[in-house]
Amino acid sequence: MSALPERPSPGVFADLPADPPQPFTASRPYFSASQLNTYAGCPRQYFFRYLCDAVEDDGTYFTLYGTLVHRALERFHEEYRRPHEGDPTTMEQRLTTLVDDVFRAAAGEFTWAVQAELGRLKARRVARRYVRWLVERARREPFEVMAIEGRQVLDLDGFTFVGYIDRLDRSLESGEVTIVDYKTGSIPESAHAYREKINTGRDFQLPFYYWARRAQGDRVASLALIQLKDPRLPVEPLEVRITQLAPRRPDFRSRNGVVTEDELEQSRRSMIEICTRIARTGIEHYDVGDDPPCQYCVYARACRERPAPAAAAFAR
Amino acid sequence: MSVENEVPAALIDGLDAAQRVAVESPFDVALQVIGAPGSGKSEVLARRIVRAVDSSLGVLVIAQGEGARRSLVARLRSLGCESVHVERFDDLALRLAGRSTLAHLEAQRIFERCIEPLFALAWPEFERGEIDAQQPGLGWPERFREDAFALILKLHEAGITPQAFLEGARRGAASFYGHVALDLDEATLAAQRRRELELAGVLARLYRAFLDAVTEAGTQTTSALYAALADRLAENPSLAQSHRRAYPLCVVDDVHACRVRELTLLRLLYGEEMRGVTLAGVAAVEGVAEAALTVSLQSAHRTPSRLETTLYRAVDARDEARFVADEIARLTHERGIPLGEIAVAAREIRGTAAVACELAARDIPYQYLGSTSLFDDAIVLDILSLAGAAWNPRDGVRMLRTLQVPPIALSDASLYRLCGLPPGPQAALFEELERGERGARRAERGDRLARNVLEGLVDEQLSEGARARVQALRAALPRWRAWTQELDLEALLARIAGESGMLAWIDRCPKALARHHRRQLTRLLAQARNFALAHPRTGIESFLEEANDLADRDAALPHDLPLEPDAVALLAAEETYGFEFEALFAIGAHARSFPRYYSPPSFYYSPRYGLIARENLEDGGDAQTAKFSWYFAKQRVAEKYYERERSLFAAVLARARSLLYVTAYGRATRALRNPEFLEELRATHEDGVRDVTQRVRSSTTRTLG
Repeated sequence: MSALPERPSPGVFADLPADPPQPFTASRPYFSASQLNTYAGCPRQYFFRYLCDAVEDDGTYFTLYGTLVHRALERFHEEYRRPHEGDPTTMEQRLTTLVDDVFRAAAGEFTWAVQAELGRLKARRVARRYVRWLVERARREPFEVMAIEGRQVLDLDGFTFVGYIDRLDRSLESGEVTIVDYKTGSIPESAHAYREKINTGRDFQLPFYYWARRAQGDRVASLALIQLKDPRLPVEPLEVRITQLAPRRPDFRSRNGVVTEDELEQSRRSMIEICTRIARTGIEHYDVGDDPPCQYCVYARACRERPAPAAAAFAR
Repeated sequence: MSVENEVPAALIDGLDAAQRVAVESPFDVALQVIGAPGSGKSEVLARRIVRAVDSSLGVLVIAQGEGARRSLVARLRSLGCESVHVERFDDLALRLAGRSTLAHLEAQRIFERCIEPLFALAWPEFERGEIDAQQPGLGWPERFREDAFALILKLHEAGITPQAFLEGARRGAASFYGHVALDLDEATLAAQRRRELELAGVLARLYRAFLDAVTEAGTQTTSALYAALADRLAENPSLAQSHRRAYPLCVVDDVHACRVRELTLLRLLYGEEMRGVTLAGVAAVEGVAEAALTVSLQSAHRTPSRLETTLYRAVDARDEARFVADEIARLTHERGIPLGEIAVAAREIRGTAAVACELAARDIPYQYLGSTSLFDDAIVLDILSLAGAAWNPRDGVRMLRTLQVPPIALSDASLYRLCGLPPGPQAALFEELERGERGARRAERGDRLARNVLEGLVDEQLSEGARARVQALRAALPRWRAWTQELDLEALLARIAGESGMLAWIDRCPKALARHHRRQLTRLLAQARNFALAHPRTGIESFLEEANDLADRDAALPHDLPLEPDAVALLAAEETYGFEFEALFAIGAHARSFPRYYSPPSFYYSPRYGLIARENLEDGGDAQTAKFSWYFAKQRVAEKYYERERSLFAAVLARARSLLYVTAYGRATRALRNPEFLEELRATHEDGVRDVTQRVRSSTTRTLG
C-alpha cells in the first residue's frame, strides 16, 4: 500500500511570497569563446557551469586525451619552430617521446590504467601521421611558428575575452599568419559547414582568434583545424581563408573554404550582444537549448528543465 | 493423459474450422498452432486450456511478457476459468529452481568488479609482456565491458564453458584463416589472427573470473539460472517426470518470442518430442516441426475486414506528437472510444515522451506499460534531491535542484546569488575538507552553496520571496536529516514529499499529469521499500547512490501498478505482446527510431568461425578486421536484424482492432541500408489505408497563417 497521503499538507513553503523571475546581470571577470559556444548550445548549461559553478567538472577521457596531445605538441613546437629545417625521423621520434612523457606523467588522472596506456599508443600513432603531414606542408610552404599556446586577451566593447591559440604560424614566403587549432574530437565535415556554424552563431572560436590577432596587428590569412582523432587516417586540415567576398558557388564538401570579413564582423557583434545581455542588461531566465548536450553535462540532474532523454538511435 | 473428454459444443462455438481442429486435437502430442497476429491463436489456446481443466488435467500456461500474461488471464476468465495460473518463462524457471529473485543487476556489478584488474592492467601477464594492452575494442572500456558481459552471458546460456569457448576460438581461427580468400596481405592477416586468439584468451579469463565470483556471491544471472536448471534436469530425469505428473500439459503463447534457453527448458521438461506441449506462434519452431501436429490459422479474427489505417509523416517529433494527441482527443470525443482502448507504441518507451507531453497538455490521462527507467523522472529526481540535500547539503547537484523544485522555485537571479562567494572572510564549515587540489576545489564549490543556504550569508542579496523560502528550507533541512535516522526509507521519502509541498503541488497539476506523477512517486516508494528490505543496514545515502547508479545504467524497472482502464497506454514495441487495442498508434516508424540503426558489438562468437573481433588494430586494412567484414556480409547480420525489426513492427500493428495509425517524422531516407517502415506502407496503396500527410500539413499551415 502506498505511503502517500490522499490529502497532503500544503507544505512548509506554501504561504511564502513567491520569488518571481527578474532580469539580473552577472559579474564576469572575462569571457571566452568556449563560454559563448556553451551559451549557444544551451544557455542553461552556461548558467549552471559559469554563473553557478557549484560542481567540479572532472571532464571525460576525451577531454583529458585532448589536453595531453595538446601538451605534447606544445613542447614539440617549442623545439621545432621551423619544421622545414628539421629531420623527419628525429622529429617523429621526438614527438612520440614527448607523447610518452605526458601520458605517463598524467596516467593517474585517467579512470583506468588501460585508458592511459591505450591513449598513449593511439597518440603515438597520431603523432607519426602528424609529423609526416607537417614536414610535407612545411616543405611545400615554409613557415615559422610564432607562438604556442599563446594567451590572447581581447577587449570587445568593454568585455574582456581571454583564450589560448594552440599555434600561430607565419609563412616565410608571404608573411601571412595562420591560426592553427588542434582538434582531438569531431570537427565539421567541410569548410562550408564550419562557416555555417560561425554564421549561425554556434561557433565563436575563429572570430575570437581573428579579432584577437587583428588587435595585435597581424594580417590573419586563415585558420586551420587539424584533426588528430583517428590514427588510421592521414592528417588533413580543415582550412578556411579569410576573404573579402564569399564565393558565388561554395563547395559544400571541400575541406578548404572561406569565411568573409563581414561574417566575422557579424560574429563579433553577436559576441558583444550576448555579453551585453549577460553582464549589462541582464537575463531573467536562462533557457534550455534546442538540442542541449545533456549527456556530458555534469548539471544534468540539477536541471529541472532538461528534456526527457531521447530514445536510442542505435541498437546493439 | 489418456483421459480426454468430448469437447463441449460451447468450447468450439464461434470458431472457424482450423481453430476447431486445434482445440479438439489430442493432448498427448506436440501441437503447433501457427498463424499471423490476429488469426485467433490465443483464443484457441484459451479454449484448449479450458478443455484440459475440464478434463482434470494439470496445465502449465506460459505467456511472453506481462501484457500477454494479463491478456490470456482475461480470456480464461471470460470463459469461466479462474483456476489456471498463467506465468512467464522466468517465473517458471524461478519456481522450478526454488528461488525468489533474479540478480541480473548484481551479476552485472560482479562482472564490473571482475574486469577491473584488466582495466587496471593489473594482470601479471601485462607485467611479463605476455599480453598486449591493445586488444580489439578495449580502447572504449565501457563498451568493451558491456559487450564482454553480453557475450559471456550468451556463452553461458548456450552451455559453452570458458575452456570450450577458448577451444572453439582456436578451431574457428584454424578453419577460417587460410581457408577463406581475403584481399589482404599475409602479414596483416597473421597479426589479426594473433590478436583474435589473444582476445579470446582475455575473454575466457574474464568468463572464468565471473563464474567464480558469481558462485562465491551465491547469486545467479537469468542465463545461469536456466543453465543450472538444465544441468539438474539432465542429471536427474525424475525431476522432469515429477513435473509432467503435475502438469501433463503445457501451453505456450507467442512461442516465436521464446529464447533458446526457454525452448531448451521445455525440451528438458517434456522431452525432445514435446508431447503434451501446445505452442502458438507466427512460425513453426525449429526442431519441433517434424514431430508436431501443426494447425495453420489463416483467417483474420482480431481485425475486422477493413482495418482503418491512417498514415502521417510529420515535420518533426513535436508535430508527430501533436497529431497523435489531437487524434486521440478526437477519437474519444467523436467516436466514443474509451481511453483504455487506445495505445501509443514506439520502438522503445522513451520514444513516447513527446506524446506524453502533448497528452498532458490536453489533460488526457496516460500510463506507461512495461518497464521504464525511474530515476531520470523529474519528480523522482526532485524528491531524491530534497532528501539528498538534507542528508548532505554540500552535494551541489542535489542542492541546486532542491532550490528549483516547484514548491521552492527560486528564480535564476536567486540561484546565482546563492552560488556566489559570500561576503567577508570564509571560515571552514566542515572540518574535513577533501584532500588534494581537485578535491579541495570540489569541496569549496559545494561549501559555498551549502553555507549560503544554511548560514544565510547572502540572504540580504535575495528578494523577499527567495529569502523567506531559503529560510524555510534552512529550518526544514535539519528536521529532514533527523528523519533519515528515525524513519525507514519509504516513510522518509513520503514525509519529505509531503512536508516539502511536492505532493500538494502534484495534486494541483492538471489531473492527467497529477495521476502520472503520483504513479511515479508510488513506484519510487516501492523501490525504496524493496531496497530497504534487501539492504537492511543501509540508509538514504546508499539509496541515493543506488538511484544514481541505476540512472547511469539506464536500468528499466517494471511497472507493477494496476492498469488503469481510463488512461491511454504508452508502451514499447516489445511490450505489446498479448495486448489488443481498439485504436493503436505506431509512432516513429522511420529509420533510426523504428527500426533503430544497427550498431555491431565489439565481437561476435560463432561455433564454426570462433571469435570474430571487430576492431582492426593493425596499420594495414580497414577499421574492421577482415574476418569481421567477411562474417558480417556472409551472415547478413544487418539484414537479419532489420528483418527481425520488420517482424516486430508487423506484430505491433496487429495489436490494433479497428483503427491503426502509423506515423513518422522528418524527411525519409532513401532506405538503402535502413528500412523506412512508414514509406513501405505508403507504397502498398492497399484499400483502407489513407495517407493524411498532405491534408494535415496544409491545414496546419492554414491555421498558423
